[in-house]
Amino acid sequence: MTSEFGAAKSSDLYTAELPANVESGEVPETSDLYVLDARIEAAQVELKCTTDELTELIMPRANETGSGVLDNLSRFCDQVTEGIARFFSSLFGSNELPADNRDVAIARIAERLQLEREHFQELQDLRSELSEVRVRIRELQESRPDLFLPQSQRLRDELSPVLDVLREFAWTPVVPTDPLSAPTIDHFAHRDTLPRPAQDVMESRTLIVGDPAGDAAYWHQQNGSMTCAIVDQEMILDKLAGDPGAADEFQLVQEAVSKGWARSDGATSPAYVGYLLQERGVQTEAVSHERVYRLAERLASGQEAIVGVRGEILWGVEPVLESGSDLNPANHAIWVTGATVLERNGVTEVVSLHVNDSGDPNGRGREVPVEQFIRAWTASDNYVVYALPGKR
Amino acid sequence: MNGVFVPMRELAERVRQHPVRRDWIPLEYRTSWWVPIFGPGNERLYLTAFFYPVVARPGEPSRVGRPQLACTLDPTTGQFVEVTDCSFRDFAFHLPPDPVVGMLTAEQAPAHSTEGWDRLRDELYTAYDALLPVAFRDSAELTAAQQEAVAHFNGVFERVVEPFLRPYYEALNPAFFEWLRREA
Repeated sequence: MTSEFGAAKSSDLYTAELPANVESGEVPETSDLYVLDARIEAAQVELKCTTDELTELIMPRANETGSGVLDNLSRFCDQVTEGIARFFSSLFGSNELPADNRDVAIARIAERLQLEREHFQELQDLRSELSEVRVRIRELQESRPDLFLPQSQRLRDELSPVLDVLREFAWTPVVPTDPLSAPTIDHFAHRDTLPRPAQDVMESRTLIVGDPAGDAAYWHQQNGSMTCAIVDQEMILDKLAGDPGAADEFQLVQEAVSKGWARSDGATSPAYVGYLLQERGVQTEAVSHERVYRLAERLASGQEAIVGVRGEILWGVEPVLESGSDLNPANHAIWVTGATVLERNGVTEVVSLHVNDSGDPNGRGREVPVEQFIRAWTASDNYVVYALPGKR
Repeated sequence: MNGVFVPMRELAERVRQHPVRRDWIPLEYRTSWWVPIFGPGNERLYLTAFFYPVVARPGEPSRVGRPQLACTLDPTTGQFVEVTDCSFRDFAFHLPPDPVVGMLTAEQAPAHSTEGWDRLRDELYTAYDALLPVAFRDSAELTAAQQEAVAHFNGVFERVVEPFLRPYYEALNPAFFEWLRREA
């Protein structure tokens, strides 16, 4: 009984005990199916099987093991009963079977019943196969206990190399008003209790921090070729004034050049980004090597953010045309107006960032996937200038 | 006399992290490739470069502007020893004053993928490492391998540098390119 069922890794799926009623052939409850589903998922993680592989090999048999065959048989019996009744009624005007047609009718019914018996036999074979697989796994558990480490420990080991990446994307809480009161998140906590009902995995919610929709009203394309940082500040000043026309790019460029904060072409050094805001009483703070979850936290708390990026990556223009000796240089500044975050199983992760990009004709309130945003942002060593509107 | 030169790739990383480059040069400006130059007294070798704007826009070729700043670096430490504004002292005063000197296009790019560009850039970094210890030496002082290294540098440099920027490189230190043409 090796067949495709035995040859695949699916046998290891049954290291966990199946629900008792499934094992005994009874029709399982819906909740049992959830448990079974969760165990399949757990085994999938453990075995690194693909979902398609598992679905193809397991689910048809799971259905047969469960209610599928019995339901089909029941439906078939009902249909046969109804069919015979209709047949007799249409031919003979009653449900009584005349003697001369009885042999034909019995032969047809016997034929169908034989098919069902074969179907049942196949089911029994599969159950026997399952039992053999379980025995083999138990033997393996005894001879190679190292292959059956506790689930959580194995997951910790496997996930360790990607923890840094996870921490980059996962963050909590959404608005940490007091760092000391922020809950401590164990990124593995939700793994330690496997198997969990599959429906729990679906418990998630998406929210947007900042006000990207409202801030989009303050976007405009920059007029100068290198005035992005100045226009970012201009847009923020417009927002603070509640008037898209409150500040003027040309005047701000003139002011920045005259005060030495920008070159004559309007290009602004990173060190001077934010000076136009400070001049108008808005406190700013520059941070290098910032994390995306911290950026989202700051946005959630009402702060504005101007970040340095590699424009071509942000715009999806690749390959990037390079020039000169710089290593991965940033070349553009944008206003980050918000972030879409996903809360799931106690972990919050940034999904995308919303930006007002004055260098892009389509840059009004544009949403950028977080991976793409981080790639573009890395070029500036994750440089960000926060504006703290409440602190003047 | 110079000490030990910092490998060019490491030097590029130090430049990237240097406050002069990181904080005080606008984001839109690029750092050119480095040109060897002797300091006062012709005793120590330095590297000189210029900062020039490259303006990128979605769907458009990047516009390359005239160099705006020049700088000199100590290749043994990665420290800037001089940064000069071209509006004060223009090393390329004899070249046309056009603000835009050329366009970066995919067709003319020396590499057509990020990986290809990385390889080419690393090749030039390595070529610098072989060149700098023998820069400005006469032919008689160069071994065959050193002459080959000089020729290799020249070939890679020619492939990487945009033709429209070539006059500005030349203007940084004509003596180096005269020597390079002679020895390559």
